[in-house]
Amino acid sequence: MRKALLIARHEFFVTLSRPSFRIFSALVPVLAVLGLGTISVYQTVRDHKPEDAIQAGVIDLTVGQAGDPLFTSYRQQDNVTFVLMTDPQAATRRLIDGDIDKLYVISENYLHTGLINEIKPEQAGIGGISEASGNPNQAPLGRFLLNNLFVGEVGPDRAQRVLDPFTIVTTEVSPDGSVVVEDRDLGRLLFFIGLGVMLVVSVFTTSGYLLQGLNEEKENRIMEVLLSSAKPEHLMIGKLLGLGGAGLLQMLVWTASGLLFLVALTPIIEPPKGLDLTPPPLAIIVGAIYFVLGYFFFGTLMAALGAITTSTRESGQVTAVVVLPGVAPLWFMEQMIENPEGPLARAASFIPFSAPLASLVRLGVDGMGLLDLVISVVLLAGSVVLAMWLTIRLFRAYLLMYGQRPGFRQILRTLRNA
Amino acid sequence: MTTPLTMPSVEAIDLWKRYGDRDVVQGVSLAVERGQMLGLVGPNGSGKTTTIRMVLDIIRPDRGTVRLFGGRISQAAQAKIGYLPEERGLYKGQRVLPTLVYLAELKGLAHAEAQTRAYEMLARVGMAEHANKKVRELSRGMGQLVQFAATVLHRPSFIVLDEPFSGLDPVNARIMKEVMGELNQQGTSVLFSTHQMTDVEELCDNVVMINRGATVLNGPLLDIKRRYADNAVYLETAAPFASPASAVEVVGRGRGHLIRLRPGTAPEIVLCELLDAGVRVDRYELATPSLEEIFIRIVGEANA
Repeated sequence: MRKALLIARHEFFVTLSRPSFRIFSALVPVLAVLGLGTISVYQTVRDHKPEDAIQAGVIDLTVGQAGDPLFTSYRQQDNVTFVLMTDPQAATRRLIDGDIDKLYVISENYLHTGLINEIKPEQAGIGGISEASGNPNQAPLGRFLLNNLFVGEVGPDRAQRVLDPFTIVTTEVSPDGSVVVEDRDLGRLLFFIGLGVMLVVSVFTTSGYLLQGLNEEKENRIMEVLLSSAKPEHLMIGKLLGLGGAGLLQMLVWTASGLLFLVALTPIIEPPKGLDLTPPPLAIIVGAIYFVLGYFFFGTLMAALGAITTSTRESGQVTAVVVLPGVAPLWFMEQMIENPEGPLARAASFIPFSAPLASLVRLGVDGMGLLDLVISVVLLAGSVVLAMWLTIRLFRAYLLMYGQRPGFRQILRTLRNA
Repeated sequence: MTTPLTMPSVEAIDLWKRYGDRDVVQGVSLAVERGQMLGLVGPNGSGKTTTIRMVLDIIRPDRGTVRLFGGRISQAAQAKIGYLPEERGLYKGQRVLPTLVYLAELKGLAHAEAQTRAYEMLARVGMAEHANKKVRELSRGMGQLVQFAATVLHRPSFIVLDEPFSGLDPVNARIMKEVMGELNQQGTSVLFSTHQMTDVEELCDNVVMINRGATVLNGPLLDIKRRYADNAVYLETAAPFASPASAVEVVGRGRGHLIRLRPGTAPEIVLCELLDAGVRVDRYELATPSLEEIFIRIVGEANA
């Protein structure tokens, strides 16, 4: 074991010294900092940008019950000040002189017709006072009118509801008539999916380094020296441990920078209601188990590929055999989220290739029972042992085979005779 | 663990290895006694490297037994071996000293001791000034010396060198031979393979010659040479002389003459005949073939 640890230490520091590893590891923190910076700058600019004060002239020709015009209150709406005027000529002069930006003449029979005459200088824009995306009631002119219309008619709550009439909450009813309880926790789902994606990226990155390292050692011809000093199993376990440590460090850097990003973001952007990204208590343990087992499984398979391929280029071409089944759950994520206890999701969490990601997705929607979890972990752990056993045989047979890739039948014969 | 004086450092008995449908090693046996230098010779592709890899447990023989220091191959035994493979290489992107330290630690040395010995060994092979260079900055010969230093810096009891001098200039080859000689003097057993027969004649006591995977010669070098000696003597005389009665042929080479004797004639007879004839003999020795001549003869016959 001492040799395996020595090899692990060597591999760990060699991986850390790789520029590609450093750049990739720093990518998430750098993106987080850049993202945070961009959002902060945007918010600062937005908050401090003095919106142009707009003066809108209003000539109100309506007559209320008391003989007074209807629209005399609520004259300040956001950056728009509605200035009451009575003399059309004077108002037009002020419009031409630029004292006011627009002039609204509310017709005498407004309550019946809703007619308002907007007078504006030639070439002036149309938005700003009477336009609002989606809901004209939300435009400053709309709110000015509505608020004045409600004065004395309805209470403030009702007035608010007229302005913002509904917030939808949907309840699903199952065929038997019972209400489907929607208990999906978005924060939990996001946490587990994030963990799963990071796990897959980190596992494939670090096991890719393992593959690259093995090929380099074959190409550099140092492999034979190593094999004269350590047994193939020491070599393989040492490499897995060293690179796994590097992968774990990378994941810690990513997770920590992601969490710091969220913490730093909270004062700037209010998180959606009900979104709690605090990891559930067992999530870290289960995530760590899947990370370790997933890494050892894929890492060992990558090591096997490294043993039977002859160059970094060639090994890069065949890694899809391992990578594609590993990321396959991403294609079926929607189905798994919708039906986490369905046959597809269950099968995916039992097949060792897809188990790490599929299981984390199921755990994210709280759709994986303890029995399924135990079966998934046991199958994955068993697959790790089997993969190691086979890979050690391939190490012995093919690590010193330079420039000649064994055929599939030859590999099978090697494993059978081992 | 100490190795008893009588116990061979390595003993390989009847090793077989098949790749595809070809037996690349067929029943090769060899033994390297403590403090002995054994040459493993044979043409390219004869199975030398495969034999060495089986001896070192890098690959498993299909049949046969290997004993290292009298026992099975273990981690402790592995730590007492130094191996310089034919296909040489180091981590190209790493510096010389850390590479040596790492390889020595794999052989069981503590970090500090490995560092001290690495400096010493680099100095011994004239590479101390390159300790902090990256391996890719070294010439091929320098790289070989560094790898040789890595092979011996943990002071192994048994070193295995596969074609150690190939690609080395005479100066660097001399340095390597000197270090090999020093280690051998201190009791280190050496097994080295080569197709350069002159190196074996210069350095080895014993020889194993293999051809097409099978042993064709195995024994002390002097015995082999005697066995393959023609019935001939080589002598140098002050003046020309008449062909003696026991000679079949006299081939002159300046003052030197190679005299082939009639079958059954003892070599000392011709000396007596010449002295009786009043010829002054300045030098007299049995004419033995070089290992290269023996090699060509055996391999030629086998391949005929």
